[in-house]
Amino acid sequence: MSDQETAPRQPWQKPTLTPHRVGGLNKFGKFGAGHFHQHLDRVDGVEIRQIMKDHGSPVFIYSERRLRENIRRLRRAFVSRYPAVQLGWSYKTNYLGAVCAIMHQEGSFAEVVSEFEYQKARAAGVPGHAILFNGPWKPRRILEVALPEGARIHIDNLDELYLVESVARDLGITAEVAIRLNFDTGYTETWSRFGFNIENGQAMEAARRIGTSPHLRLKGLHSHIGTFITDVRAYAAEARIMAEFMEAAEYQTGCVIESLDLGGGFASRNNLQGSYLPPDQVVPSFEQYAEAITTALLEATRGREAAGKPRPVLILETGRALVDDAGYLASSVVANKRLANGRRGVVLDAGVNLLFTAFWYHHEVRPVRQLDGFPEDTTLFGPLCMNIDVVRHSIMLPPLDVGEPLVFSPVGAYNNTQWLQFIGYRPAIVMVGEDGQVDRLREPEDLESVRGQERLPERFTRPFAANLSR
Amino acid sequence: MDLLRASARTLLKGYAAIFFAESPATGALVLAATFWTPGIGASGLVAAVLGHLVPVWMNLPWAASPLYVCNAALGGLFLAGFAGPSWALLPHLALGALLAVALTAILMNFMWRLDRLPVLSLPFIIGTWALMSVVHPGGGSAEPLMAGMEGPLPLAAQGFLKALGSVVCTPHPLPGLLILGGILLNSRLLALFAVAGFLGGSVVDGLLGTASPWTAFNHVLVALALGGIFIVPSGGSLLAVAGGLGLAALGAALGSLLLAASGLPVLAMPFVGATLLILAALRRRVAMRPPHLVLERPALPETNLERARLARARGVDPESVPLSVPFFGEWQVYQGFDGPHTHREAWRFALDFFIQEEGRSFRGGGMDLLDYHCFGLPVRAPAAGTVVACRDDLVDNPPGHVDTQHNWGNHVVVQMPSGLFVLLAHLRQGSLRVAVGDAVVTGDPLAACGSSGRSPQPHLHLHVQTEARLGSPTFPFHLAGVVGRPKDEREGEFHLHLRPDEGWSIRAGSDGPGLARAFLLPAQRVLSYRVQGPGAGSGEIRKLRVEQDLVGTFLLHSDRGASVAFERTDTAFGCYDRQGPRDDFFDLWLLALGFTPLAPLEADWRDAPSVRILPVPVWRRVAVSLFLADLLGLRSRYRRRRMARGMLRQSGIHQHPIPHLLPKAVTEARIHPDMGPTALRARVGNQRWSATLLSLSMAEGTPGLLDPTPS
Repeated sequence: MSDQETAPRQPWQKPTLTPHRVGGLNKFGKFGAGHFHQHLDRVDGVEIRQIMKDHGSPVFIYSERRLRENIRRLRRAFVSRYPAVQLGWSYKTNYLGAVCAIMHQEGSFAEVVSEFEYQKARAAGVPGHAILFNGPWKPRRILEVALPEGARIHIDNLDELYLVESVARDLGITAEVAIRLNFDTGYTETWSRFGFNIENGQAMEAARRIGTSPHLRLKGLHSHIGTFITDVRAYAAEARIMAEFMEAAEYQTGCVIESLDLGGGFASRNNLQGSYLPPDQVVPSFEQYAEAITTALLEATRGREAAGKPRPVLILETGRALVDDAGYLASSVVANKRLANGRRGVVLDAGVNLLFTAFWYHHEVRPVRQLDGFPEDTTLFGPLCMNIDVVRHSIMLPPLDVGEPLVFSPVGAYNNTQWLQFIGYRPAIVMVGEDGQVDRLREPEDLESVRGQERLPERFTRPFAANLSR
Repeated sequence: MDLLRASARTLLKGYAAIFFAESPATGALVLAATFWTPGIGASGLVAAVLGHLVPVWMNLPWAASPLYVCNAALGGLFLAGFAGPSWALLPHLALGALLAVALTAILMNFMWRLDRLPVLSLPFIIGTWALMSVVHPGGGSAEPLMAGMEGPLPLAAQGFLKALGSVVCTPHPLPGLLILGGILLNSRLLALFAVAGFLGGSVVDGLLGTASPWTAFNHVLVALALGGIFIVPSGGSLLAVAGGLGLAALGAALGSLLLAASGLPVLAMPFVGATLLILAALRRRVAMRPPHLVLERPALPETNLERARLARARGVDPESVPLSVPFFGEWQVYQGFDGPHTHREAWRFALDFFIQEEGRSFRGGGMDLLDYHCFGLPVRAPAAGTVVACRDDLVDNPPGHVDTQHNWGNHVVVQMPSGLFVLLAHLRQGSLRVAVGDAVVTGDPLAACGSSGRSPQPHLHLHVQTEARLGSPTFPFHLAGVVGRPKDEREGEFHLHLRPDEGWSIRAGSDGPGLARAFLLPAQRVLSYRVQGPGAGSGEIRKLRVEQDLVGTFLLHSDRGASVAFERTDTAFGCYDRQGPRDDFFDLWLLALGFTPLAPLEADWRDAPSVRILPVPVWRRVAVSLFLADLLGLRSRYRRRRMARGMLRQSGIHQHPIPHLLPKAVTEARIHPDMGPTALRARVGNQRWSATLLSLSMAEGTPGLLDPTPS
């Protein structure tokens, strides 16, 4: 009381209320421009709030329409520029049954990198000849299945070459195989841990080794120059180098190469951490990738038909760029807090256990309605009891109530394959269909999902409640 | 001995050729008919023998052509008929035969060069007139030996048979009957045309008042020639016959009038004149519509029908230029031939292409050229040739605008080896990748699709023209080896040749390596199969052998004497002209594989193979041929899908268009991309066959060629 009496008196002012509109103009320009100046209330016409009400929070939401639009646009970009094109859906990007089914319906092969993915593709009805089998480890037991089924094995190393040969010999078949190549495109970092190197001669050695084997026939070449590649010149160089190697290998071994698999790596419209420019300015369109690749490939294979050899089929294993922007993660605010350094923190019900790609992307985070209030630099934390659980280190957000939904996008690539059952359960996944119906693609996990796989030896089943009460 | 047999064959074929038939048996019956009056028959035979020997001795071109014998024999017959047979006539006969041979040799060459017209019996007519001027008519009449024999037959039938007989100067019903039998033996349709020609001719004569028993045979011959030999039998060929009958009647009347003073008979002049007039007139058309002429390869009506049916089913049109698809991927036809906008009059044979998706040719607002699906996409050479004109300096119009100053906009003109020119127009500014003088091969990228010239939205214009100058009259063309899908269909079908209408979706059939190696069938290649099924026991070994004849046609022979001609192009393998005895395994092979696109690997298509290759019991065949139902083709639908390990399954369902007449046939072939058809299964009614490829080899004694069977 006494303090109040001693403080200097200030003249009374009439209070005013000024609403701060998110994204509105003020003396600093547009606050938060590019991040959340728009809210996102619907996916393909279906209200996100309603989906969260029906399927819980957090929830992954996919758009069937966007998936189909993406793959059709990619396909057209290439088939309208090159005579023979085959897409192979990269399972590791997203192997949800519904997502794969859409890709296969649209004519994609399956690109798998493990026994599990191979079995998943077969179980989904993909015939063996429509499976591209990549990866540095393919156990003998799955090769014994995949070779007779006609899968296209992309051999990664010499030990695998011998293994494939011995399996083919034991089965009494001639296996048509491809080898994976690595080389310097001049524009990208060389991923020399996968496949055979061209520059040091390993690759030609492998081709010759296959050429001398009665059980193997070299039919294709594969390469994957990296990931999230935004310079289309890298692909032009890749196509050119592979075509040159194809000619050389055919000349040296007498084989006829029928397909060139340029792998994946097309960037999606996501904001890579450390990237200076927004994705709209950095990420090439499918048409730009296609123009670069097909121009180089048409030029490099120009004389082939005259020489009586077919133009190789161009195979693409695009994953991320097809599915990323078809996926959304709707989460809710569970708590607000003020950090010791004065920053504002918000805890969400979805963390890096669900949003693995938060480690390398700045996802777009948008509310589902127009929010009022002054945006403030905020860190978004996940619900895990782990220091690393940060889904966004810095983002301008207005004040948020507990329960306020926030939508992350694009999250379609790699999250639903790399997510962890860690600390909490993994939530439901739904898809908005082309005519607006919402279907559940994966049930939310519960205790049984975790315990079901566990086996408890007899000696641990004695009741221990009494011990705990002591 | 062989030589004698061959000579006899040529002679008999010459006699058969008088009635456009091909079989020596028919010739034998015609020859027999001429001996109704032995003197005349013998005179004809003497001339015929000379007509055969002289071209051989003189080494004349096409010495084996039945035309020499045919014309010489006719000359001998009519000379003897005119003057009365006697030994004194021998020199005249010899001279007549020589003249006929010489005229045939000259006229064959001349008429072919003139307009590919047939010689018919023109040499006989000219030669016989010449000779008749130096011999005296026997019996003092210009109408020799017209003593008709009255028999039990109705008058019309007698008249018809007499007319047949009078073709070979033997106007009597009995020889006429022999000849009819001979024709029937070779071709039912020819016999039908003969009857129709006689009846039609009587009607025409009645209407015009030109009736004359001595010229009635001209009507029969006109009907044979125009009804089905030089024109594919059809409604149109019947119209041609009707016209020909009228002309022949006029010709007979006019001829009689003109020749009355000289005392010469008109002979077959009305027939030859009318037939040549009609054919020459029809030749003036661009043969896009029926009736289709087959002057290059005249054949029996049945053969013509079958070839035409196969050609129609496979879309072949010899009067049209085949082009490859000038783009990658699937595009839609924006405007077809005789289109509503600009494909009119001299420019009616043109196609416009663009890309539509869900009914729209653009994404976004469509205000920017880059919004249009087809804008900037590569345009490829639709044929090999030399670039003779090109430009790419004109700006692309904003959507909705046109540049009528430069109608064609940026363009490339390629001169094809045939001398015709192909134009690609409305290309993108600055997109040219070739220059004048460059040689291009089919499929080379030339430029990019744009919107220059008279182009309200980005699209590609394609046509063939007869001169290099822009805007020259266009020439019909079609797209070769494409998968086409009509507007409201979901699935596309493979077409060897296709001229798409507006709204069709088109893509190149080739989508990679295809089956080119699978159907590599060089001469002397032998395919051995183990066959099981009716007529083959269990495990009989059958061989198919590839041969090439003198003119380069590839033939597939079975070890039982059957054969079929085949052609393998970049896009398809197709069989035609099945010859020889019945052979169920061979025919099932043809049914399963007779028309096989080489790319794309997965495809659907149709064909119309001959009913005769369906292995059914003999009584069924007879029943079917009695009703002429064998003239219709089967309705065959094929589907090819991938199997494991690169194998392909090609299944076909074959049905006769008249339901329940013949059992349904189902075939299935397994095709290995390197080794070709390795297994075959077929079911016809409740009978089943199966066959497996044992080996691919070269015929024994083929020098320098290795056995290709992979170990």
